[in-house]
Amino acid sequence: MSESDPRAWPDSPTRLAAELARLAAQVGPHIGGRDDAPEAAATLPCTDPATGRTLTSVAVASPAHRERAVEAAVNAAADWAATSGRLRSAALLRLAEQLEDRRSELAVLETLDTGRPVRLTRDDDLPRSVDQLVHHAGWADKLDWLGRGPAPQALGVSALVLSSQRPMATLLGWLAPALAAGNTVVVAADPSTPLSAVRIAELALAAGVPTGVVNVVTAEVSTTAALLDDPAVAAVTVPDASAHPIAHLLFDDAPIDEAIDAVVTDACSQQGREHGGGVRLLVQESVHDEVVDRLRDRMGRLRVTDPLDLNADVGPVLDASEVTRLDELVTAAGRVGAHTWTWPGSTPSVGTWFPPMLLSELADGAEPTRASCPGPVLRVGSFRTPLEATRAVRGAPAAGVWTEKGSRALAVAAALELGTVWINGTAQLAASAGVDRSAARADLLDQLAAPTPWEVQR
Amino acid sequence: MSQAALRTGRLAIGGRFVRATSGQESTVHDADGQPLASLAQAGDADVRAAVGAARSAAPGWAATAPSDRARQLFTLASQLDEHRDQLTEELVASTGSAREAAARQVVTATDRLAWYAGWSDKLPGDAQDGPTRTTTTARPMGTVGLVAPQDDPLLGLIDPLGAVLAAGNTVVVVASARFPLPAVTLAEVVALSPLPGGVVNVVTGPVDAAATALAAAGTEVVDLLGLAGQDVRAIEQAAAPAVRVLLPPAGEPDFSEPPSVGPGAVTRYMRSASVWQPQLG
Repeated sequence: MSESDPRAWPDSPTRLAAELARLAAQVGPHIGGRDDAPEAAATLPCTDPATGRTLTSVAVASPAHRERAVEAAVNAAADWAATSGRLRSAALLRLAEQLEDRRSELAVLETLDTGRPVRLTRDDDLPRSVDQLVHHAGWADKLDWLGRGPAPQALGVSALVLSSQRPMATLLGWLAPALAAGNTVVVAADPSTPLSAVRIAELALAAGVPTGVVNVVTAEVSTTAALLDDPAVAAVTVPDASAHPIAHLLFDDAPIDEAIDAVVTDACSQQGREHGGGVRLLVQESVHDEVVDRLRDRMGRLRVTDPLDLNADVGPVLDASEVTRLDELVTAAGRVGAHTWTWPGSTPSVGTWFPPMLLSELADGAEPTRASCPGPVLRVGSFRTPLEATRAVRGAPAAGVWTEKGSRALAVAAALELGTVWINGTAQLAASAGVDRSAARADLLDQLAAPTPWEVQR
Repeated sequence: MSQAALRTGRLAIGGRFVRATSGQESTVHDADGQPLASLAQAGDADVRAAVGAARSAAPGWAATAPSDRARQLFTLASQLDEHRDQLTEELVASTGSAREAAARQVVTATDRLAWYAGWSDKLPGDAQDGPTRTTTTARPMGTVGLVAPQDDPLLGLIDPLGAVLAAGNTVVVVASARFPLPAVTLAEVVALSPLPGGVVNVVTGPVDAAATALAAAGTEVVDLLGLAGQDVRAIEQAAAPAVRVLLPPAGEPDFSEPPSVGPGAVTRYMRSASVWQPQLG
């Protein structure tokens, strides 16, 4: 199903979804290239959070599944690592092509599974993932140039534990370097959102990645723990549990309209999901009240609706437990003196939804200010001086600095001492600049054995 | 092979295949002296036209995102691979080499192009020095005139070509005079590829005259790789101002392994652009 105009849909998202809804009656582990008919540990319903409808049932992996997945990965490891970089590169390029050919279908699948607006899964997540696959395909045949010596070694079996936060994008961004490095993989997909992971394993096979190189288990927490302990698994990547909110610093000379638009999108559409902790905005005192007014105005215009609607800004949250967490966060914020403002519309009556909210006057030290936040809630505080702002941002995984004064932007960016800073932008700025090359290099190095430099022979 | 079945080759200029303005053609023979093809012979006017086409295509190609250049070059490599039988036959016929060795050469050549493709978006740049932030990026030079090696007509052409293109330059290739056919086939495959017209231009004909015409036409870089061991002072003197002339090596290189300098092979065809900014609170 190739599309020549990337913006064209072969069919409406809703109709595509209806087709996909005729999914296999059961989705389960994909091990050694087979969709095993499992003696499952349990079966769970896989629900569409926008409607509450059951999409399919998921066979939860038993310990036996996990063991078989690791075994399949171990058995495939030597051959895959010995495959020339050029052939691994070609496989990654073919997988990229598979993703492009099935872009709409995969995007709709991820939206049905997670509630993330389809405009984002299709036009943000998938193109970025394709770029990452192509980028790492270009490393696979030149690992000797990474700076790890003339013949860097694969780790062997590399594992990934997926949460329900953007599982498709997370999987593909991790899979590209793992395969480029020559590792075989075991992916533990959260059983409430496993659909894209299983489909991607199938596509990898179709792209000519040998059997046993990509294995997916639809697994619960106990499986994760067991993977961490398994001596046959060389490395396990786990989601960051302590997700703090991204911070945006808005100075008095910031391009305010641009900033508001970008930050609201980040908080309510993207829901800071790249980092999982939500979004905090710190506004310089002199413009604070004006900014809060304009934020309410902007947030009031958000479209909270069916994520299959191409115009949707905000989709549902994953499940009832997230609604509960968000309720608790808002209550706690109210208790420490925050002002709460709620989007004035009504959310759909089916599915699990949370209305966009603005929590302002949140003191820097209060607990709700930095708690992780899985929904469309924007937290706002203020600062007087750049120094105060810098201190308030500590612990954030990334930050945006909004000011027109270039030298201040650079000074503040440096003072924050964070791994990632956007000047007059959000994560979308970085996303539009293409693959983050230094992050890609670091991710690839993480997938390779790491002797000390002095152990590496010429 | 009868004259009627003789392959013809034209000059590849600006995405089109044209005769020499002079109408001149020359017959190429195989290793046994049998005629293989009749190829157009480029004169000065043709070389100038090729440089003009390369210049027109240069801003667009330089502005193409490096990752997009990478993808286009990956596609070209894959298309070359689809033509591997034809390329192998040509090498066997032209150079008299054994079929197996020729087949391996072709695989190495397409792998090499893919290798360069992957470098496009991995070139080094950027720095932070004290209170000043320096952004240094490697930028394409613009247009490159490449005199391809004489004796290694496929791999010896594709290796430097891959580097030139990954760097974001457009190019005028002067094909090996000794074994010109692989360059002609390459031009045909390029015309089927995503690369815009004018990015890769190929001229066949007398090499010294073409090299001199290139230098005079003022491409940003002229790489005299194909004139190994020759005295090129006359060409250097004919060069327009500001042309960077890359002098030939003493002997024709062995292209069987990727260059040990890695990305240095690509940055060789690039210029450095630095922006300094003060950092004040």
